[in-house]
Amino acid sequence: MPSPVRPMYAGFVSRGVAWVVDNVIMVAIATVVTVVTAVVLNAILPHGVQPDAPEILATAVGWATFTTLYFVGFWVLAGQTPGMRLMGLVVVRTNGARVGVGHALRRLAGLVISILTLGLGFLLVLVDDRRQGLADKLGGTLVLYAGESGLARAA
Amino acid sequence: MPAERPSIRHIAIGLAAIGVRGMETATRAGWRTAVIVGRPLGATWDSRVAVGPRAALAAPVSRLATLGEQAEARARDDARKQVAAAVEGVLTNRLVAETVADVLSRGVVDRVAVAVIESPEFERAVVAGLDSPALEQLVARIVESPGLERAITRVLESELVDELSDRLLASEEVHRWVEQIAQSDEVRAALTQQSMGLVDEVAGAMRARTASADTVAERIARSVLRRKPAPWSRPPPMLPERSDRE
Repeated sequence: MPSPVRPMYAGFVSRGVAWVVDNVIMVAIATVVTVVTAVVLNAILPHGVQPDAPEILATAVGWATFTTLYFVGFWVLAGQTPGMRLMGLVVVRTNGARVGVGHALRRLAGLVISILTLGLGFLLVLVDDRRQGLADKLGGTLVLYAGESGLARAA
Repeated sequence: MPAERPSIRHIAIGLAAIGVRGMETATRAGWRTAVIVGRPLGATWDSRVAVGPRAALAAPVSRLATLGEQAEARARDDARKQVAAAVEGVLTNRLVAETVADVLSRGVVDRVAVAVIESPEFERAVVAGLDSPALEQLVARIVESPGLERAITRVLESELVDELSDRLLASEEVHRWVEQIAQSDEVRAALTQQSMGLVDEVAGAMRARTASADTVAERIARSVLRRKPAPWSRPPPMLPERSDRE
């Protein structure tokens, strides 16, 4: 009996591991930055940092900015985040071209919606013929195994 | 017209010419006679008839030969001594020593050596020597010789090697070398490359397993939702047999 053909689209588990690795990296960086910033501000300000609304809002804005820069920057510049590189994955547009800033921002919005819907957007990867999640549908992107990422095949 | 009176000088010259011509004729005649007579004489001398005279002459001829050999040996010995004395004189001559020192001080030898080494002929000669099968065979014979093996074994088993290694390990120079080697960019690059190779190996194994898990998870999800299998999990259509195609 002939063996099944190996798909070129990356599946749920590989993408989930890459996602976890990226989050670990981001949390580690954000923690270091937050602690260093708090220590410096406590040393500079006369009354130290008070965890009040403005500080919490600033932290949230900083975190969102960092997350946006991390994902959009890596997708646009390298076609993969560090976690995706570890798992051998790349993200391209559905026509095989590199991901632009607009597509990356739409894909990031899709990720946020997937999180807000308790991961339903991610589960779409399991049943889609091209293994596209909600973020991929919104961003017009595909996630491929790096060894299978011939641009012609991605089209 | 009255005939001119011949001079004494002309008469003498005419007589001399006649004499020379006569001597020449006599010599030729004598030579022919000697040749004609000499052949039977030579044959007679080589025959048994002349054994007695030959034996009588052999002793003085041998003595003459011996004397000649001794004289030649003495002459050679004298010549050798004279040559040695001449060479000694040249080598001990102060002028020669000063000339050699002058040549050395002016760097002539260095220039000649550099010119020889940089010449293509020298390079060709060295390459030809290194490429020659004779050198290869010589090296092979030396390497495979049991004598060399015995010598190396003896050296390695001697206490000298242990003592040398102890001294080397204890010396600060070796420690400095090791530090410099460990801090060199090449070694660091090699270590980094090796570490990256290990990371790549681990990541590769993880990728293969997660890729398999992708397929399994997808199959389970699709079966739960009663969806048809993914296109890549379906077997490709069977190709018709060659006989069918024909």
